[in-house]
Amino acid sequence: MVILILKAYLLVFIGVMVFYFIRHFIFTLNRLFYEQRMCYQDIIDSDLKTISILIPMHNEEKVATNILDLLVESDYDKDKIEVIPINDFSEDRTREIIDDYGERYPFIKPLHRCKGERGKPAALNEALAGATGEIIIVFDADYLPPKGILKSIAVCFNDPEVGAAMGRVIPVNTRRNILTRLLDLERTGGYQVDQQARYNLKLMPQYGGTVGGFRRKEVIQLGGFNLRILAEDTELTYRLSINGWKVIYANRAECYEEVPETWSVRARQIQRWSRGHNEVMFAYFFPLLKSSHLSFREKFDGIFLLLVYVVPVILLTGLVDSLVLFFLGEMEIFSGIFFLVFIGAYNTFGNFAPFYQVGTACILDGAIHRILLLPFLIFNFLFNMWYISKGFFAAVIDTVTRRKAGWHKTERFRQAGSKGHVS
Amino acid sequence: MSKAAKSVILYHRSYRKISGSAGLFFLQFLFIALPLSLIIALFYPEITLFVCRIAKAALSTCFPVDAVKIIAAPYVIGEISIIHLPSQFPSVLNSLINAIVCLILLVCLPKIEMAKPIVTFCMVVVFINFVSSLFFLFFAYRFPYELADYSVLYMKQQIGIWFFVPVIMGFAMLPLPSTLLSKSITMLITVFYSLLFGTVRYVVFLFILSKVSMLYMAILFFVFGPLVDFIYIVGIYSIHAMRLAEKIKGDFGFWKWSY
Repeated sequence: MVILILKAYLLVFIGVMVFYFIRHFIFTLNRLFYEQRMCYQDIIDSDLKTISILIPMHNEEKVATNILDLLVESDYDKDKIEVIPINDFSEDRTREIIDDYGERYPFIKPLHRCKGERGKPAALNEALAGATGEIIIVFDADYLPPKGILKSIAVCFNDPEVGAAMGRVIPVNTRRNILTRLLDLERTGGYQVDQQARYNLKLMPQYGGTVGGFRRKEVIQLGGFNLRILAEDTELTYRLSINGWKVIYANRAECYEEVPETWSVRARQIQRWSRGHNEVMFAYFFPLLKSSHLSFREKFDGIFLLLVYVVPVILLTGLVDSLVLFFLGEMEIFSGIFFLVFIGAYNTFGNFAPFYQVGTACILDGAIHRILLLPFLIFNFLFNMWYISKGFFAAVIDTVTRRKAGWHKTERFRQAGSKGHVS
Repeated sequence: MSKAAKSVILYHRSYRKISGSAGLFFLQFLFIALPLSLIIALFYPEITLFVCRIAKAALSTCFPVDAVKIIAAPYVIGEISIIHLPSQFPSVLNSLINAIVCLILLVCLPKIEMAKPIVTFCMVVVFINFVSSLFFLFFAYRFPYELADYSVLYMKQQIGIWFFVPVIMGFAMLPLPSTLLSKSITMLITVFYSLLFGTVRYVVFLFILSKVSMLYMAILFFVFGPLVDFIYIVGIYSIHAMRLAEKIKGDFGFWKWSY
């Protein structure tokens, strides 16, 4: 009986992997050959909406001036924007830096937080309460927004159905080391093919919490950001979607970010993402299925997206399962299928996207030599599996015990005073 | 020519695409990838026999000639050939030493300053070997495999790999806009490399399990098995895709816009 259960689990595991394989293959074909759904960046609107740009900052002295300088240079009508850099319990020079900008530019309105809850969701909620823009656009402090990106995002909200819009994220420090190069591949596959194909297919593109915007009043009416959930971006995606709002993706709205340069920082980041994403999964699995605002295909894709950070756990347990079957002498019937397991596993979680999806994205991007790094994605295979699984179990404990997760900021690597040039 | 004086402005990467269709892909898959897989499916008895002959020739330099035998085992629609060699089971002392070394490594590895993916990989290898050592230490009599059983397991797995290599390469490569000939050649190279790699690995694994110890069977199966095959599959794909990306860079006629 035990052996039967172990074998059945292995088959379920293989089935899940094959599903993800097919899903990503459909995305790849769609992005390569079929009509690309453009976002609204070509609309010229003389009556731009008022926007509030929120930049949560916790000890961001290395990067704060870069983003503020770039927002000052933005081509958006300065009468219609307010920039709110949120000093969230910083202990470095962040306060002085943003106060200095506040004195020099009337549309920059620093917000200092020294009491109450820490963390991005709490900071955003407090800033939301005082913001006046119709649209909220959020950037993390390490981002380098180009001149026209505010218009590209804000114009999306001329469509009354749009609740949130997400732009494309591109690493600025790609050439730093092998990790940053691999993360660049991950982002390329994830945005150029995955997000765009999901937008093309009218599935569920994800609002990523930065380089994106949402409607202020409507989000406040929906309760603002949930302080108990680490992945406030994924949570907002699902909350808006199940309440009938569309989340859209603007591939042309490109913005540069700094990706982690050390594996330790990456491990903490991905563990935190997994924990937050899985908290959302536990909270929204059934509400998603029950929502009357979503089509079948949106729900189907929404489930796949919710389970993205569960699959590495299934993979890990699948490997343990295989190990047990091996010592019980029961692996033989799976010997051929076992390879299929690895196809799915590697394809899906070598890098959150299969190698062919990343390769296709690089070709579309016109990136050439970085494609040769694809075999190195093998580095991510066990690494991702382990740290995502740790995040998953933390989320299980959070959900069961109602424990509240603490927020940990991703370490920055840019030298203070550096412009953060694109490489 | 300065950047400001570009004679051709290419479509922006955000919404450009290429011409093609899913139907065309499936046709190519039907006529290129599937026949390659079918060849493996139809001729695996001959292929495994060929592999075994090479393996036998290689192993005969390390073992007495009559110790290395090619035997047949049933598999799906025919028989597969495998190499039969005597098994080298670990002694209790050997298992104990392995278990202790693995335990020490499991404690020490996380503290070593090394890239985390390498530490994680080493931890997995050590953990599997630790489990294997404990198994041989306490339940050696229940170990379910002789070397011949492993040989069968390996060969069946290898047939699976050879069968799926054209399928995976077909899915990955056939949508790409390179010529049919170059895609077919790349797929053939991958299949041949897979045959070669599978043979060399077979010889190495048999040597380790027969000369060193059966204790390492689990590591060989789980860590250096199919996972390693993906490195060359993805490697060959990446070379092809890189050359294609270089070729089409700046080719205005090649790209389509949005719809």
